[in-house]
Amino acid sequence: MERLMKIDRRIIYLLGAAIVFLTMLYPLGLPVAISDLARQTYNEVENLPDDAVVILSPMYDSGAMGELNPMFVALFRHCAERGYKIIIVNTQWVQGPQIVHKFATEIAEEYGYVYGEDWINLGSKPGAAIFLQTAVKDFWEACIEDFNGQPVESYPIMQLVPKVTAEYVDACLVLNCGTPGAPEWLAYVCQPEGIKLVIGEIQMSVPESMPYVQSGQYAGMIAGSRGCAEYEQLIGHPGQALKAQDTMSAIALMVTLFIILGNIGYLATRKK
Amino acid sequence: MNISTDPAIWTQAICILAVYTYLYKDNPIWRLAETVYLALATTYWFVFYFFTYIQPAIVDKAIGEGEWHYFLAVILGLMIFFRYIPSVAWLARYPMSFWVGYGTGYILSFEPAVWLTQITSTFLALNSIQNILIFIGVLSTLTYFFFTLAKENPVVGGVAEVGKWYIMIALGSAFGNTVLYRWNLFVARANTLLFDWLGVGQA
Amino acid sequence: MRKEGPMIVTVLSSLVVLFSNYFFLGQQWGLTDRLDYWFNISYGIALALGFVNLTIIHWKYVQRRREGWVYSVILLLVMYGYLLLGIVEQHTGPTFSWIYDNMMTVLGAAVFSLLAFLISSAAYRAFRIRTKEATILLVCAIFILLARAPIGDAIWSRWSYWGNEWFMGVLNTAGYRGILLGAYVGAFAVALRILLGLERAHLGGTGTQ
Repeated sequence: MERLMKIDRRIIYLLGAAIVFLTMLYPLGLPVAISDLARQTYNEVENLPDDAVVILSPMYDSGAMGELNPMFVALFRHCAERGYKIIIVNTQWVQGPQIVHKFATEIAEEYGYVYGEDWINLGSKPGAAIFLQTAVKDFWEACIEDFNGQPVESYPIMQLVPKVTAEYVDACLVLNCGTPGAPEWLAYVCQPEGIKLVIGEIQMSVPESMPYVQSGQYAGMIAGSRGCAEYEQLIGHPGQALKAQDTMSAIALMVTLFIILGNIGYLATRKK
Repeated sequence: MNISTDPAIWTQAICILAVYTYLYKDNPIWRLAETVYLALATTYWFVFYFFTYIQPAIVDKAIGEGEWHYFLAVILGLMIFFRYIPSVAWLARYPMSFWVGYGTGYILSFEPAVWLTQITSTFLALNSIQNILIFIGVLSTLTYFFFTLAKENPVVGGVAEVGKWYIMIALGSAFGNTVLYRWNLFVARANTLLFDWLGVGQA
Repeated sequence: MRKEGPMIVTVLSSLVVLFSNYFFLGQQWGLTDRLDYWFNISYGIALALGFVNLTIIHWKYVQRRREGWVYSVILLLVMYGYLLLGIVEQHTGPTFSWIYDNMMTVLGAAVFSLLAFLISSAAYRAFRIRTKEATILLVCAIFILLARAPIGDAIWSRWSYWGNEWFMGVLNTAGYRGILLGAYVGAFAVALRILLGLERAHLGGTGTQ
């Protein structure tokens, strides 16, 4: 029984990696049930006015891109399908806008979106909460230049949004992985200005964000990879998140099994 | 299997494998990967913000449009580097004080609205099991955190005990989600190795 | 002026923001409009501090031939090489972006995904039902682990419903709200201490009174 508590960590690593590779090569095809939360989130984005302007904020860096890139793709695609104007901007997470730029460019081309007219990438700006407040007062002055180094006011899409207020912006879609993130968008932009806030949350922080969903401060939330898989089904474009769900199932089973094994060993040796 | 010939994909694969060598044990390849990452990430911040924010502020706004007050911001920012000159290191406290004070002002101005909404969302009509459980949960968790309350009192102690259970549920839930999140990040890397690099499943 | 000056700046800048946000007159005057830009730009400049600090630290390591100094040399070479490239090409340049896309983001993502292995091994080693609390935590962790992956529903069709709607939506929400409110009160108390000049950690030293 003591052996059950002393499995070499490298065996766990190898088994984990093997499970991931095998389930990717031979998917189980388990169905992913769509939760009420995913439906609610989808409806919040779907039901914006046809000429809506949304801010899509990739508040993340390479550490979280494995989970948030598919969310960005799903949200950008959904907004493009609905014909919304999309403004990409973030603060402090300097890598975010560059990471998403190629996905945005590809999807924009697919939908005939013109840069500067239908969508724009303003890049990352320093200042966190203060930047957000500056954007509420004067969006152009706060951003100065876009990702390509051109003055923001030179683009037609930016003429629609001189300030980040409910008058000009219909929703903020924030992909969140830490601080600053969705709570800052909520406190400094969305709650004071009355703008709808929908977030995409990394699975790790979903529990922490649930109180904001219950209070209605977050109008919707794509809850981690599972939530993204549900969202991909709702928009009719299965993507990376949906593909990953079989692997997640196998991994969940593996970790559960190891925890149980460890505890069986522990209980058996404790009685001795 | 159709192994990629794209140098970009090969670079990605080598980087990923270099990092995963750490799982066997600490080794020079891992340390090299770690060092390169740190160096690139630090420089990227610097270059990106310089060309997209600082330079336009100075060149376009301060010089181009004659908004000279931007220079004051630049000087304020540069003052932080006085910390490297011991005789005038105290001057670096000024920009720091401004940032801390300014940030504090914003926290006091905007954060209360967020958490007051959290409080009002707790006091729900107690007409469903969900609402009752949320109400009990928040109050008992807060009771657990009130360290000035006498926990020897059976009522307070009992409520705090319930609070402890709620905290354990929240942390258990956080753990379950964290495990899946971390593996999800690995899945994304495995995708690169398996499909982009090795071309498994491709003709 | 070495301590008092910065202290006055801290309190005054807090008061200016508060006045601008809480009072009609403050809003009319727009006192913070210009200060906001000052904050953003000065803060952006200060982010270079990390770059300078790293240079100084690793330069010292190289000079003293500290263990692993070779990595410090590599770090400095990569940092300044990439900086040079950035100055020549800017951040949108082809080579600068190529390195970013194929090395930096990939390395970052791989480093963070390492934790998948470490957390699984740690869970196996440390997750023991030693106490009542630990048992609750473990049972919930396993319940959520299976609820958040489709396997839960494959075992029992209501698993994800109970996991998402009840555990996450009700019990977890209540628990986390308590934790969040505690954190908010703490942050508010610290902010008040700064405003009143009682908190001085940002000025260096032990910082509190």
